[in-house]
Amino acid sequence: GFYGELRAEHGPPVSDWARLPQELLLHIFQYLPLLDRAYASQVCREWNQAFHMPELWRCFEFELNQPASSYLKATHPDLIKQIIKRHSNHLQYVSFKVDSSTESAEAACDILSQLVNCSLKTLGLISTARPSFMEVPKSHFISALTVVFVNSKSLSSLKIDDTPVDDPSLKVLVANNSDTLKLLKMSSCPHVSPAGILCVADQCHGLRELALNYHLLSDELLLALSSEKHVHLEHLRIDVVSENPGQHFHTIKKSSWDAMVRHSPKFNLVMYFFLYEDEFGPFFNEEIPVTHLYFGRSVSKEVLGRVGLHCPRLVELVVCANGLRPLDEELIRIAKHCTQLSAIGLGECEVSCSAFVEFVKMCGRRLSQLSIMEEVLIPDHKYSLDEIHWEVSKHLGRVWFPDMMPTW
Amino acid sequence: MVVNSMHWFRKGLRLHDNPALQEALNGADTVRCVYILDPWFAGASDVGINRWRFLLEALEDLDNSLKKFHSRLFVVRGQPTDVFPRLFKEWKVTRLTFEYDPEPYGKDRDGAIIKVAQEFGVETVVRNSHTLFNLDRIIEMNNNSAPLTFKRFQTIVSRLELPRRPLPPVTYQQMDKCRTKMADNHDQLYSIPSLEELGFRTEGLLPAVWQGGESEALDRLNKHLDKKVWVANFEHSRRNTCSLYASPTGLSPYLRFGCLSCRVLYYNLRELYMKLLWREFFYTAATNNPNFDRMEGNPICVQIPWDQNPEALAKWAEGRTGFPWIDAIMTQLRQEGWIHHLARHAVACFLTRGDLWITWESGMKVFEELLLDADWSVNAGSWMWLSCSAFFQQFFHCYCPVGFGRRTDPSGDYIRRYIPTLKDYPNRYIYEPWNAPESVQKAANCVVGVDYPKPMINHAEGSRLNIERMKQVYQQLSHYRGLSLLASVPTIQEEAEPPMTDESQSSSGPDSPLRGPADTKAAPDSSTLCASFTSAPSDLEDGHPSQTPCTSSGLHTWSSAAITCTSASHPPRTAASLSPATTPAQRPLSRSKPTSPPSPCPTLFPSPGPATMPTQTCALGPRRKGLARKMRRSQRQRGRPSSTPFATEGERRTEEERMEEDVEQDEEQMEEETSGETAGRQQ
Repeated sequence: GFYGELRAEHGPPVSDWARLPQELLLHIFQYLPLLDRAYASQVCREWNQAFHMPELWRCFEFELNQPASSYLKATHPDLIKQIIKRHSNHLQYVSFKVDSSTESAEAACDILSQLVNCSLKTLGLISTARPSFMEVPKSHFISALTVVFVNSKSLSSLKIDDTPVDDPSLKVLVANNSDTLKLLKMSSCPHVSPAGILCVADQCHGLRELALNYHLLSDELLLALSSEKHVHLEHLRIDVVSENPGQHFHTIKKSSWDAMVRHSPKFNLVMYFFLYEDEFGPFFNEEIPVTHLYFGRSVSKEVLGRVGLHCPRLVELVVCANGLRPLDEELIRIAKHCTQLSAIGLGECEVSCSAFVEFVKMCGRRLSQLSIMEEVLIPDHKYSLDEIHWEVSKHLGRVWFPDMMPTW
Repeated sequence: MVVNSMHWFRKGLRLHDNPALQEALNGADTVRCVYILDPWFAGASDVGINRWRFLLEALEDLDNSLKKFHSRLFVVRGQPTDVFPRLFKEWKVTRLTFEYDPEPYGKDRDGAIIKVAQEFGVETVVRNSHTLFNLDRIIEMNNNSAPLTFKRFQTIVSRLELPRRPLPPVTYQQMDKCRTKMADNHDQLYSIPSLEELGFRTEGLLPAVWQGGESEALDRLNKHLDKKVWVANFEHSRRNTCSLYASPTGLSPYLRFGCLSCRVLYYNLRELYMKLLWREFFYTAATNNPNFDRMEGNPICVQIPWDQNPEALAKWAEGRTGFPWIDAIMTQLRQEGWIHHLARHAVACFLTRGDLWITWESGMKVFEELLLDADWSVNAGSWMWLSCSAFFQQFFHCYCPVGFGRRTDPSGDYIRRYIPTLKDYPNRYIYEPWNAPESVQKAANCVVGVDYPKPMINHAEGSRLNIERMKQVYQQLSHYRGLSLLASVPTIQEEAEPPMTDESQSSSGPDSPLRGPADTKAAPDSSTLCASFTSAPSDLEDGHPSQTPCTSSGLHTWSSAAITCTSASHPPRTAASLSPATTPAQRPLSRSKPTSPPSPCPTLFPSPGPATMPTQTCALGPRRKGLARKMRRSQRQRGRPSSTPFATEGERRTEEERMEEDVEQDEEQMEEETSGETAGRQQ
């Protein structure tokens, strides 16, 4: 078909390659890594033109690494220059990956501040090792970020976790992108206040996913997100992090959570806890619509008991560590009350084998993920470690084993 | 014809169960046992003094044992390629024997020596005795790729014949038949070097906790069995301790009268056996992968953007992290050369994904220097395992450098032993001295920040960040999709990402953006690309960017080349291209295959069913894989009954088999889903 036609029209096949229609060339180029495209662009004028087609420059990921702090290579400075010069107006989906050095984060800011004539749809600032954007002078970071906010009028997705973004810059974001913003991830941004994020929630009615730290979460914020004007929220991620031992945490009213669930019945509430055991006082005393729960540090039996009572929407539970007493009753209570639970991971905890079997039996086949360290399971009069593999497999309807670590 | 044998010791520093040495003795007129060592290289290598001391003691022990047979060990200084031609001529060697070394480096080295031997008309005999099984068989049974989950590995192993029975120790009679006259200046030419000769300073060196050598090993084995198994004084010769797995007949009276519980015996042996199996697992994974000890270019290693931080690494390596649990372990490692496996987990997690976010390769090198039992394969494999860089690990759980220690040893006496400065701390604070009130610190004569370092990192904050980093990495590995707990938390992120080209979208489906052919192609090895970029001329002005370094940005905003599993630019390694040694070395090897008849009873210990996780597949077509699977199934049907713990409960077994089949079908599906990727990545 196609080659035949080409041949008929254009004579000898040698020249056909150069006459490949642009859209086909584009299609092929899209499958090639950048370096291969660069090689191909040296073949002929047409291919060189294809190399510069805007479609091929819509997304770009800048990798900014220093030889002293990363094993990974960086995007070459010449390429960066060229993109800024020739393709910045084509860029739509941009991310920056920076290593642990401040220079890399500053370089990212320098590039950002040159993106004046582009209209980005997504922007991600990603620290791959340490939160190095936090080391950049705040003013430098803010001015770079606001360049993007002001120039890109249709920003829909913004990932700026672990950065010094502040309230005034969020105001600029809202002023320019309130109609389009759908996703905002800003966990661990210490310069933002509850009022700052509230302003975003009030104005950006299309916001569907939000990630922030617990200190920014307020009843007002939840009410704003559940207002009639607001679309259904799909994901809310909250990091509960303790900066210093014994920190006091505020509480969120049950009525605010209820409003959220009424407005967005299917939303995921993902909560990461990195607290000391004695800081859990304000949590899980009332019903909370959490769906994914991660305890990154040791959590007490008592708190897990409360989880079992007050988290009816729980889907995934990860407990990294617990004290030395078995979690038997707590797990059974969770199985009983958390009827959506389908994934669980247990690290440094203890559960007796029979309680665990009972737990699995109660949850049954909806447990699609069951990741339990071998040491967690304490053999008892009913089951040994070998028998438990069989029992659990039986209830799950598939072969299951506890997670193992090498004995080395 | 005169047979002058030479046995080359490398590993396998023993006279018992040494098949290659037996081959050397077999019908020989003379036999010389050789160990080759380059003192200059030795001193310059990264191996620590404890490991050298252990090796020298092991050689000493060999020499002593050989002396009893009127023979000696020849420690020859130099490099094998230089040494062998000289010795072949000098001793008129006709037969060279050595133990098969399954590690890629060893295979290369041995391949070269076999060539040299051929040139000199010397017959080479190689025997497998460093691993329980023939690793190539395991790989063959797993569709020609090393199994990447332990369960899968166990399943394969359970279908193999039993490991070959151990051979008896070399006897006086055997040695006497090929008695070789030792030169008077033997000690001058071939003595075992001292630590000083190797360039180590030995003043202030503490006595060894672990004495090297075969005699000590057999003593320890006997004591181990005494402690764990023997219930009465029982005279046992060396020989039957060698047949640990094959003939525990000495126990039968005790079992008969119930003096010894058969279950106690079973589980004691099984515990030991599991350790052996782990070792075997990592050997199998490494044998055809010369890049097994690094991240770059290692097809099974997830590419993780580790931090480079020499200062932090030094603090960890020298036990100055400020976390007593970590520091005590590292001190014990440095002083004694051995730490418990849970301790290894703790420090490995702390260095890598738990706290410091430093590459596992650095940790592996420190272990390589200090750990007496650091095998290349096992060391690298365990580090990859613990840093969640391979073998499909869940990464949700980080060991807490305070809590984990406290659980393991609530009293803290372990800390007090290795960090005496902290010995007066009360139990309550010994794992977290920085939290002790100042008065307590003063009373204990150890103020944190003055006498003992402050913690180098806030563990809560560090582990929070690192969990996020791991998620970033794992969310982009589509063959891990749905396997990792945290990475499976949903997000609308993908929708907010750029629309893919229609074509690639239709080929990959909305839930698996990384599966499209475009994307596997677009996962480059950025290092190679960038290397060529810097060296190539660039002609930016007229719009010919010559070598543009590439990121995988091609299709996805948040997806990255740097952390995409395995690079596209490394060709698949085949056994043949890997090691010139393979072909010649395997000829004698194939003769040494276990001679036991193929029995329907695979192993002593029942092995659980197949893996629930996918193994990375080789680039075989689905049809071939299907065939292999069918074979496995029929094998299982034949071999199963006696190998399952539920043999007497027919009903149970059948149901388990049914489930197993389900799993295999799932596996099949997953393998097919990933095989495209894998193939793409490996090209």
